[in-house]
Amino acid sequence: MEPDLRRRVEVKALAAVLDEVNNYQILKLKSGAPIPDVEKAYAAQSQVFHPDNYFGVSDAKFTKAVTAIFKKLTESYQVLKDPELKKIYDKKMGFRGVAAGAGQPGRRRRGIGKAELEAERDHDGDGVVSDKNAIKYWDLAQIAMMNKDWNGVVMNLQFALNYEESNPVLKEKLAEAKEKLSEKKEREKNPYKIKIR
Amino acid sequence: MPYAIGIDLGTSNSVVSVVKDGVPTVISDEKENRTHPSVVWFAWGRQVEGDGILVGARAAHQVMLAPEGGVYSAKRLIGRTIDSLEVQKARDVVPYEILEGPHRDLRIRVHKQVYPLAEISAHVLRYLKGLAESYLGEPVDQAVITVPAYFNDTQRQATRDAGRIAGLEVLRIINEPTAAALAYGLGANRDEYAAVYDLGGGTFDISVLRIQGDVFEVVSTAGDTYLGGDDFDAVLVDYIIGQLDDEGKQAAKRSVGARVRVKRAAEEAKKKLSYEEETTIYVGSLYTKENGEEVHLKTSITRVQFNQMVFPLVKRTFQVCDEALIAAKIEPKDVGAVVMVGGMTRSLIIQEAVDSYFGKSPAAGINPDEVVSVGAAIQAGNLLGAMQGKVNPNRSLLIDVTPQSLGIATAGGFVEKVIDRNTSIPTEETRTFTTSWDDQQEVKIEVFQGEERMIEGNQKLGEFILEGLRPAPRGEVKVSVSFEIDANGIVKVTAEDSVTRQSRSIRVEASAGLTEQEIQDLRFDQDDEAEGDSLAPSAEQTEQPGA
Repeated sequence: MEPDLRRRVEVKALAAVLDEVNNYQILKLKSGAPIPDVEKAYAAQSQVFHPDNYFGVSDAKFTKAVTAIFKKLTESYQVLKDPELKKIYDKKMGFRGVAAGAGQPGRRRRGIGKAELEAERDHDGDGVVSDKNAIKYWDLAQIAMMNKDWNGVVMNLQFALNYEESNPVLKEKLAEAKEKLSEKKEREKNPYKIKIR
Repeated sequence: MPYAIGIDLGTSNSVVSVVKDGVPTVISDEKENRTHPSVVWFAWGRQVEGDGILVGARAAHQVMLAPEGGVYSAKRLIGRTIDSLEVQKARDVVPYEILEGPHRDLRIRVHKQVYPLAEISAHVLRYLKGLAESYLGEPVDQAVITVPAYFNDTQRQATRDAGRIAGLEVLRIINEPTAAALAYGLGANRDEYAAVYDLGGGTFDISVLRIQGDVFEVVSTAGDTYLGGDDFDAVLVDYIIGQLDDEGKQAAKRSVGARVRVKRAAEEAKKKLSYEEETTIYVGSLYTKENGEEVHLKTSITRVQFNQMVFPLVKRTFQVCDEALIAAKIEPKDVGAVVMVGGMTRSLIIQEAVDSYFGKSPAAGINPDEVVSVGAAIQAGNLLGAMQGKVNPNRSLLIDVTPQSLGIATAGGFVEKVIDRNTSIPTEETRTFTTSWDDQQEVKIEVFQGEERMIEGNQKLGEFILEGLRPAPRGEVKVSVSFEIDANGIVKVTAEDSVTRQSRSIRVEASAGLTEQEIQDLRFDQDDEAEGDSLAPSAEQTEQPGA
């Protein structure tokens, strides 16, 4: 069964503006709506936009659009149902419900990804770095250190240094990691990689 | 109006259901059995009706008499490779020979005939399809088939291939615990978290779902593919064999028939211990001594002994539960209902352990053997309804997740995750790859499934090479590759040159599996003349030892 015209228009229009709607808008909620409302809205919107509702529809473009909408719905839901991520998101977006004085309401940005919010929740740079991007790579470098992935450590520290060129801790750690990496390369040669011939 | 059936294709037993007039019904065989042994028995020259192949209860009966012709536990092997631990384990317990096929798939040899593993499962599926057709009085071509949540892409594809060989259009592969939740919550208008504890013959799965009315959202899932009721039996088998003297142990090792009888006795004892404090184990005519004396085995075991022996297995299931609950960010007390699936959950020790872990008794009124198949039938009805645009008051929506992360190999033997586990499906992620040399013509991408950071701990799904890239300075050619997991949990990869928009769709060729041509050749529902020849391609290999 093919979807009716009204649904077609709705899906097409929504899919076209997916990058511009925020997490509340896609769920058809008021900004800052509480978590129980988020859960209900997700269930309700899924009943409209989950691709299974259009199982067997032959129009590939339509199916692709519905799938993209559902993915955005799910990602928005993942952020807004998690109290911590929701709090950070609301604050960044400058939505109500955030305590006054909890920082300057940011520019109303539309696309803040879940990964970015999670990084903010989990890490603050430990006082070593302060630039937002440097924090991200510093965190990745630390994870790599824990995993003894010296290649990853070197890579991420170099990225971090792009944002904080003269950070002494980053420089010191980079030198250490390079040493470890050359030791490791001596020890083993791993046959797996994306082979480029 | 056609029907679509729901099939729980189990390791030991299978169940088939259909939603008829809005009511889910479990379909019986002519002897009123509602579960059907997933056993195929090949007659090997003996005269039996039809093509000399028996399936279900009659096959299971024949296996007792002539075990050499029997193939069972095929699900343990489907979609696996010859060097996997599972194959090594299976070799100790099954009478048939396991070989490697030409595409790293598995084949088995029975009576000198070689069959692709998917064909064995296809025989079971065709049998179930037949039962449904006799019940409904009309042909059935569409089905939803369930798999353990922890099945990877290769295992799912192999299951779908088996369905196609059996002449079924597989509308959807769904996860067993999810199907069970669908059956549990249908039309009950609940708003709660439900946990599905699924301890089957060969696998353990736990799924946590959020149920809101008709919407069933899987929040997290975890599992152990090497843990099931068979492992509980194996503990008992070891105990029973341990009671024999050295000669007896050797004899039991040598004889397939003896092993089958000991296993049966173990299963029986396991069941009895749920309502008896102590039970007697008797295995008649276990073997014949050189002097012609028949040896019978008689021993006993108490529930306390049994519980102690299997305690490590029970404990492992709750470690997996912990994992799923942590991923769902809830605690055992937040779970509103525990749905039990799999014959092993009838066991008293499991019932008690679940009660103490979740702090509540398992949900009542659910048949752990049938609930998965009923859920599959409900989902089949949902999909059929959507296709027909029918307004179905009982329609439910299932939002499932991918149980394992999807990643690609990177330098240094690592796997970079592209799609995290427990992501709602269908989903898609795009990554951009670029050339590292001037005029580079190829990029090879290896796709893995699993949670380990190193390649070694993950399952390789396949690899593909982006070739024929246009010559350009390094870094200029950008290839964007989209990784898609569809609602079946099956992976698709599409590559596109970001500049020229030249696109190429690639199915990750399963590193182990049948080719499209092989599936077509094996299909049971070909033209009548061709039907008799459907076994021919495998029969040709008969005389190739180790093929």
